[in-house]
Amino acid sequence: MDIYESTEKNAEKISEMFSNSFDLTLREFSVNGKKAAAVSLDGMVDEMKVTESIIKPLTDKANFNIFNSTFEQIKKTAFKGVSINEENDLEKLAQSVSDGNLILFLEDCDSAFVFSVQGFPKRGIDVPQSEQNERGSSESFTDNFKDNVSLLRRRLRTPKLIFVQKEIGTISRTNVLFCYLDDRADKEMVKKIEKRLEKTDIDTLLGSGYLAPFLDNRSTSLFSDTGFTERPDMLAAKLTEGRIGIIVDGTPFALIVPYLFIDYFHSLDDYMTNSLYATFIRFLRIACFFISTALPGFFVAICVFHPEVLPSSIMLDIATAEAKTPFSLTFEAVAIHLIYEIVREAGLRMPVAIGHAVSIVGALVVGDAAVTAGFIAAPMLMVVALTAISTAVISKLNDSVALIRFVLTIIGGLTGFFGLFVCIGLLLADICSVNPYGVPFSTPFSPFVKKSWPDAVYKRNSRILARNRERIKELEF
Amino acid sequence: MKGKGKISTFQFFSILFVCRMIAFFTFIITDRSEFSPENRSMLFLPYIVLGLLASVPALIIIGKKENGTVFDLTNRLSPKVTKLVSVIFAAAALWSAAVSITRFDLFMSTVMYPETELFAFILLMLAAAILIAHSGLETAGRMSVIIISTIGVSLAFVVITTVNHFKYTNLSPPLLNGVLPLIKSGFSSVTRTSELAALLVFAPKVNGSIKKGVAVWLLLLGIIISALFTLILGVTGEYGERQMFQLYALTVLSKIGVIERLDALICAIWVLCSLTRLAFYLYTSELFFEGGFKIKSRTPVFIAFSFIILAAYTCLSRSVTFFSKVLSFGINETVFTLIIIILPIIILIADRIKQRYNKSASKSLI
Amino acid sequence: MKKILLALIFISLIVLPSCMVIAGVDLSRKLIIEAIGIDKQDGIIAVSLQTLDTHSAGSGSDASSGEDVVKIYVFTGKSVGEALSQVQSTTGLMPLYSQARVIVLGMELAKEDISEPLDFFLRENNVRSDILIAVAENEAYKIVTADLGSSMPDAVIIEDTLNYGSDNGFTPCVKLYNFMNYALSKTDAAFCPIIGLEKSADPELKEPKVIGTAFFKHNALSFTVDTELTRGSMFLADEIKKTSFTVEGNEGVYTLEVTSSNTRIDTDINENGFIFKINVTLKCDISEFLSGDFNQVGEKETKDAENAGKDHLTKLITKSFDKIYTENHADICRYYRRVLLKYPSSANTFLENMFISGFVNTEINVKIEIRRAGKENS
Repeated sequence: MDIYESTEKNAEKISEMFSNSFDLTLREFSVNGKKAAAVSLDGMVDEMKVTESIIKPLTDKANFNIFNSTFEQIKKTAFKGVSINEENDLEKLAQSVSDGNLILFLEDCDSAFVFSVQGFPKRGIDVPQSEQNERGSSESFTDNFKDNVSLLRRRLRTPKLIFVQKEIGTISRTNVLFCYLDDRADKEMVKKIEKRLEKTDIDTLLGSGYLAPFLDNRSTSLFSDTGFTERPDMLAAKLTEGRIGIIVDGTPFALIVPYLFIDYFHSLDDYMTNSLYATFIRFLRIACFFISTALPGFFVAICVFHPEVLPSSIMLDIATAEAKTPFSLTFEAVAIHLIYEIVREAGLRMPVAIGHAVSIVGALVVGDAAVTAGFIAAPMLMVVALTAISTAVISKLNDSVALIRFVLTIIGGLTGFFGLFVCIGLLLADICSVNPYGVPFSTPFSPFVKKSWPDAVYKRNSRILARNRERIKELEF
Repeated sequence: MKGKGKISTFQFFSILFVCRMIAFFTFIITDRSEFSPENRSMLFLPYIVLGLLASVPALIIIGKKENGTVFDLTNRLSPKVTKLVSVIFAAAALWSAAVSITRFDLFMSTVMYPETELFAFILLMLAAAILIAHSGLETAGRMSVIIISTIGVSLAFVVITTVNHFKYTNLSPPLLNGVLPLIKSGFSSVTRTSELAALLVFAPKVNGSIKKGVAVWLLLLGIIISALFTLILGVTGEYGERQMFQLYALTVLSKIGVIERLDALICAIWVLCSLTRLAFYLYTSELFFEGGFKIKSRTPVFIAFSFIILAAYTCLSRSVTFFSKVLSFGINETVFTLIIIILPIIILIADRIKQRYNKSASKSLI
Repeated sequence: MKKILLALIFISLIVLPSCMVIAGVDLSRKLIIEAIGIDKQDGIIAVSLQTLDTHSAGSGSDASSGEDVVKIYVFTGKSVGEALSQVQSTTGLMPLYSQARVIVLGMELAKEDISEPLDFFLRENNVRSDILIAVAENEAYKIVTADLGSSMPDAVIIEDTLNYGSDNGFTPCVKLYNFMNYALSKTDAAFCPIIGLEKSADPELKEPKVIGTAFFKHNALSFTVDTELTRGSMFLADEIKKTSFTVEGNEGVYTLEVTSSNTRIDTDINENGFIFKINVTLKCDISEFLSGDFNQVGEKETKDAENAGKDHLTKLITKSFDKIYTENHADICRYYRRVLLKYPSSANTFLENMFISGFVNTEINVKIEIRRAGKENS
């Protein structure tokens, strides 16, 4: 719909489009004796910028006749330092207002000016909350994608760093940036991801998590092959490996594709500490994955089906403790895990003010009273505690691990090692069957990629690694 | 992607290795004269030689242009022949799967779950195998590489912890009864390597040299099987000879520190091998079947074949005695000889004759 | 399709096992058996079980204290299987054999036939194949049920006694699989320690003690030897890890501590028949030398100790050889198998004359090397 010549009519139409929303601000004034109207959304524009860079030049420069000048002249002389566009479609203009722009209607003009003066409140750069590092940077991504771009640019000061902007969400029209290093990323992979983003059929995109299932290669897999990070340094590191990052406006978590199984065990600290220690910690993390998924299942299976594995003294301690509880071992294991998940969920969702109360109740009721009352045996509680702590080590895998753990515990209790290993086989098949963007998810374990081991599995000295850094496209099968 | 749907030679032979190893792990000595102690340490020699000889027809067939499967030749002969061959090979693969799952059932119900009816477990395993087969060859290939490293570690643990109990006086002098029994044992062992038939249909799905792969695979298998047989005999002696599952008898003896028995855990790892073997045989039988008949979707075939395996398993697993009796008729040996030696040779000869006939026909036309 | 399959797997995992097979039993519902004693009297088998009672035990570290935990059960029947089938009906608990450390056979039973009682344990996969085997001086029941008054379960003390005896050359440490390996062989003789009880300082308590070795032929106890000949036979069978012995030399009395021992048996053949060369090589320390001086030793004394030790051991081994081979015709060193391995074609000839002329040409050589002697005197 084209704009009208009358400023009033244009302003009225825009107001109608926004259903006279309370935050729609209309400023009417005269320029060179003619009517002018500026429309914006309250709180979405920088008021200072509007006054200083738009209203003031218009009203001060009385000798400058805006009506007799071309768009280029206006852009160069009147409004220096503000990005201006010309638009004559009312619907598009309304959209610009939604984006935080200010639009200026002038009487008898066949187009309106769109001033990019966004200035909404935003959170500052904070310390990463979910990816703590000992020696790495203390900056995390923020909700504003432009800030995130600058955080990334600061770390990779190269023109090869490409950002491509997309708009996803029919209603939310969220800005999505996908970035990569031009000389490192596989062009075919970039194309594929771009295509996926373009095909994303969603009405509201309120966070990067909404986008992950669209980028995942198999919806039924327990593990996502789209990683996320809130650390700009981590994303920068992944980009140098030839991966592709996706920044979604409004989320402090960037997505990384493709993301392999081994990536879940990586931390940026590995590159900042002694390589031997880093290797040890890496293996510890992998061990924690096994502990957190399979320990309760194995414990139950051993106690119920294969007690011969245990040394006599340990067996006696477990049997003695279990003899005093009314429930079966399997039931006990499932119940405590359920309680643990409840406490964990409460810890995540509850207001910070009552956090201590929940912790005390959790620790006292589950930890102490249940054992003292004879509802739960102490060895089982120890197993659950170890499992819970191990899960915290690999927090990115928490969702998958929690599910796998429940299944393995039930199966272990019902069928012993046999069922447990059939499930482990299926889990293995699940990990081995995904090929995110041509790179097997199980790389570098299988297919075995020797070159990748010094960096991906264990950690070799950074001095050597710097020379032979592997790129993701080299892992393609 | 460099080769979608294809796996590397290493992955392919890893699957075959896992399949063969589980047959060895759950091996029941039904005929002691065939596997008498004096032949075991030297078993690798006839095993490698006879294995290589047995693989020659298959290697010739896959070396012949086009896709590199047996169906290239049968299609040239006649569509009916293709269908017949496809049914025979699929049936043989299903038979091997049924024998393998029965063996595994007997093993599990003897050592891990005595007095337990394992039908439900087998059903579960079949369902899992269908799922893996459905995921494709790449999945099985990648899984096998990981499983190999797991069984490698577990076997190394068993070997390291039991080798100090090795007594050479438990061994028997090699070739005590001449060379013939040794060759017989070698042949018998080779007939348990029914995976050779898979070469006839998997060549187009493998990147790399299959010939080299077969040689290395047979060499490794021969050496590992012989070495383990010798270790079992050297450690357990006559006691081991009285055990149904010999490697298990050795596994029970392995202990380290406070962990005094890990046999249950080690045997549980074998579940993974059995699962892979079952999935691979399902996949192989389907591929053979696909060679002769048009199939829209693979999964219904997998399910149908699983029911056939289940039915065969139900019949075979009635008792160890019954199973041994069935095998004592030489069914395994016959099936092996038929599908790996006789049938490929017949196909090769028929192809040759047909080619000559076509040549002379075209000459006479000219 | 995949979702259906996954659902099918999950259902079969959960429903089918619980409907069709319930094999798992919680640990607290199992009877943990630590030691097994088998006796036979008037054709009736009595199986004594030393078990750990989890229901009356304390928790945590108290749980392992033997005093509270050990419980004894005795079951009788026509066979071991029949006797043990009563465990569940009597105790309400399922027997768990995997933790059993020792099987003690009663002397009467051992003299009669061991194949029947041991057959059960060979078939039962839960029993460790490296469980120790011993013969009781009298009744196995007395050994298994003896209150040894320690804070550890009594079976642990019996196991430790046997292991210690083995480490120090008082008894061969015989495990089930090894025992059966010899027993099942047509030519070898199986052997195991004899264990008895002796009174300790506390008159109410007793201590287990190895008193010799029992030798089996044709699945029955054939003869026994005392601890001295046991040591000789252990040298013969290369079972010694370390031991100590005291010998009287020209310069004084020496106690020699064996740090390593190796017995090598060479088989040879000539016109007179087979030759066996038994070469025992020992590395010893002089742990005590009674010469009227403190911690002094010279080259002369070292040589004297070596000669005295060599004489002593040669006599001991010869005596053991005579007792075991010449007198009782028991092949504990697997001479037949050695001949079979080296001279397969002549093995049958050897087997025919094994205990007639087979061991006539046996040479026993002992070599002792003293390593640590004491301060060298000038």
